[in-house]
Amino acid sequence: MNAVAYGGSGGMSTDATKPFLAARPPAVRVQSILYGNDKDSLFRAVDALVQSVGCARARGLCARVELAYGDSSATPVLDADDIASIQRQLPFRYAFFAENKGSARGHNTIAEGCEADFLLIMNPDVVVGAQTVLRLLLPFQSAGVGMTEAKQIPIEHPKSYDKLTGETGWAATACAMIPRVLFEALQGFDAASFFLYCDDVDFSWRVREAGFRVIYQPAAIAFHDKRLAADATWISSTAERYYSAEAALMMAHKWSRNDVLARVLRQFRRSGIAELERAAKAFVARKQAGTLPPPRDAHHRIGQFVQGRYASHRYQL
Amino acid sequence: MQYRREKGLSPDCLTANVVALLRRNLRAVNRDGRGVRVHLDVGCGLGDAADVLRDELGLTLVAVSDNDDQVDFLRARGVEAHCVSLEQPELTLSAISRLVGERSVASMSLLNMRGTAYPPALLSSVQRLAGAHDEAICIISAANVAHVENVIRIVLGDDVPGVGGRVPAVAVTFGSLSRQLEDAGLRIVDRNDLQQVDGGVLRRDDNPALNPGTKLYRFVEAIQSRCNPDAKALAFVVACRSGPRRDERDTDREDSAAKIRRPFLSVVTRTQGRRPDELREVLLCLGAQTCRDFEHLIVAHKVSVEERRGIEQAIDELPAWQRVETRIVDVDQGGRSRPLNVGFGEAKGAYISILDDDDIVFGHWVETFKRLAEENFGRVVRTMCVAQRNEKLAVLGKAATSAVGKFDIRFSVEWDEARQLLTNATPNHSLAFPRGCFHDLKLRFDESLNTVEDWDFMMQAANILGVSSVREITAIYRLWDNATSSHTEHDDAEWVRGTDVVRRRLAEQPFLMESGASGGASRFGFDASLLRDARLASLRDLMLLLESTSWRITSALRGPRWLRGEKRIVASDFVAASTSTIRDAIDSVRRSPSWRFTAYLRALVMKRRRLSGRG
Repeated sequence: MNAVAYGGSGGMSTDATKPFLAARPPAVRVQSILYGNDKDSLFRAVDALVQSVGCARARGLCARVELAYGDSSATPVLDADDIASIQRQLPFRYAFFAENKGSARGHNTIAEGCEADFLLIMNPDVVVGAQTVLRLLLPFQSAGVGMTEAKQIPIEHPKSYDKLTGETGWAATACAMIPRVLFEALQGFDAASFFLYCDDVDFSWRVREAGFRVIYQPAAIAFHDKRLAADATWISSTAERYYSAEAALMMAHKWSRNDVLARVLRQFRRSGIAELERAAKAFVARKQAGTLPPPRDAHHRIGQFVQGRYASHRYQL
Repeated sequence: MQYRREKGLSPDCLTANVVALLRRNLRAVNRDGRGVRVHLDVGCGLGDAADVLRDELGLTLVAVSDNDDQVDFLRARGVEAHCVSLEQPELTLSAISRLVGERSVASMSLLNMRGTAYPPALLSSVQRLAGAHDEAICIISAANVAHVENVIRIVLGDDVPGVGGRVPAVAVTFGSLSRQLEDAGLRIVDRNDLQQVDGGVLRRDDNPALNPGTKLYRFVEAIQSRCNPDAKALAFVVACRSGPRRDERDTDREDSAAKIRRPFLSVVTRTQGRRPDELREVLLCLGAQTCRDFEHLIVAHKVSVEERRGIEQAIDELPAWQRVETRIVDVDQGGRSRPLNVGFGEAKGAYISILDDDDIVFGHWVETFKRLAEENFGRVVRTMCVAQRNEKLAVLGKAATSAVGKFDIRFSVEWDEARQLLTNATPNHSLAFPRGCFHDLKLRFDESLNTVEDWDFMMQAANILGVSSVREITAIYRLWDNATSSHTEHDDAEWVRGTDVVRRRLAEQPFLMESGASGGASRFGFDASLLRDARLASLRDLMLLLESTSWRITSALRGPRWLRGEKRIVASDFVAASTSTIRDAIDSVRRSPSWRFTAYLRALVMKRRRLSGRG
């Protein structure tokens, strides 16, 4: 039996031999972190979420659903009218942080005190399909499922998964469902190590480390408004490049891949790309300060590093 | 007098058409009644037909005009002709009434008048006279402003001549003539237009552009052959009776209809109801658009009750705003083109785009079309589309789709006219057409085609309106590894046949190259040769694959697939195929289990070659 230490309540256990979704329709907390978002994109997401919740309720698969936003922006994205407008559609909590907490710490903060059975972690501009909430919950009827992820469109994530069971290496929290007790048992995202990227990869690997499966369900669809450059390549910002580089080093360290760490550090230092060089320096500084997390998975049973990615991919984006 | 249809513009032709209309429409009571029956010819357009009217129809010709010369001319030929002012209805009416006296007006004509339009007052007088004389039949003619020659004359700044003469004439479209007559209370009951006889004009104009052999003439004629059913009429000749004037409320109603608020875009999705999961993805893509200024028409083509219920359910699940903008249009007949014609016919949007039920679009798809249309209103607008291989599968028993290939820029990044003339390099959801393509230009998807109907339509639209492109990827065209699509539902022969039809059609019509493409002809030649090379190169690649050791030694592995009815890939089937079809076949070979089975073998051979210095 796989189990993780947990002192919380809520009627659910983190026993991997028992399903998280039992007879009682669960309560779901949907939560997102804002950072200077366009309001229209938020309202589009809320419109779709309300419908998706309605479909899940109609099938008797969920009970109360609430939405929570943590706002890391310099000034609040939503005003009182906006908040009231969303509250007319579903229970809604809004916390303005007055600082940029990043993704991991932001989610951990607003998840504190949450009593829902499941957390649906989403990017705030993700527009879910009508059956997405339902289809992300259904796999939890089986024992051992610890996290489910929706398929993103128009740009689907290329990581590999089992075509029958959906089992995969990690789940992107652009739209992923997690039992709240498991989230708490694992102490949420590792905010001390990850600011913006790879908090989800790290969390997924800890879910698997605790004996649970991570399921990719392409029948649950979520529109994530990503664009392609004219040459069909991924468009990334300077911040994205920096934080993903920082996270790459941290992942290699935390998941005991010193070989990968050494290689990546060397590549970053020699890259001539400012963001990568800066990430390498920041990592070394943390190492010298002794603030790196303790390494785990010494026998490399969980972590997977494939050509700079955290899983094998079906194709190259 | 012997009337004969002569080629071209002849007053005799007009007279014959008028007499034929009178013969068909003169009421028996008029013909058989006692007393003198009069044909009142307003404007002296029928002056040379006095004998025929008398001998064949028993009518006395009375001509009135405000032109002294015309009146004197007819009087000299023994016709009763009077000079009457035609400008003030009351005076005109009383003057004509005095002239007619006790005689009965059986018919009237208003032919080949000068001026840019019939004065409403004159039409009103004619209507009142007709009403006062037992609803006499009125024959009215006007030159067809939309006849190819008149179009060219107007483009060149010339006047539109009347029938048989060079003087400017009342020149109208049939629609505007109908409206003018309705406004005056004249109801069209019959029509006998003066048609252009094959062989073109008789009267040679000095302007060479009016020659049917010129490029301009052919271009206008080609457009009109699709867009204007009245294009061949030299002049409209109609028979009218007095009726109620058009109610002002009708005009108001039409005005308000013209002012109807249109969404920017109508999205037309044709579905056979067999891909509910893909349709849900289409609906989600639309629900996530940054611009919501669109309506969505789901054209359910030959769907069963169960399939329609599935579509309804998918719509019921949508957010309220999207549900309101989405409607099902049922089409129970026809091939692949029919649902497009019906959908375009129902569309209210200023622009219309096709989004098939397995397509994917990015969040700025509508927004980008709208921005392009605002900058280039009236032109077809085009964005970029990439291809991506997908497959259908069932994860934990739930049917789904999943991408299995990288993005592939296989379509033109911008509208490339030269390439488009040879093959379709633009997926449907890359384009948005102005609604006028369908509703004004009367372009239609050819319902005799089951393939490439979209290519045919877009080329017709592009030829008239032009295409404005932007290098912005807004759409994904999904290539299915294990599911049907239009590419698999129709065999190669059908694709080749459709392609041939469209190519022949394009070859037979003049094509207007875009401005700025002064090197169009040379560019065309260059690209065409490139394309030919690309096609041949693809064909060569396919043949190399099929003749390779890997393919040959694994033929036994493909046996069960053939037994299941899967078609063999044979090089000779692709000799006449398009580049994209050949490339699909290459993809199909490379994705086949038997090809993948020998991957290790090939890698080994390559390694040995490298080691031996041959790689």
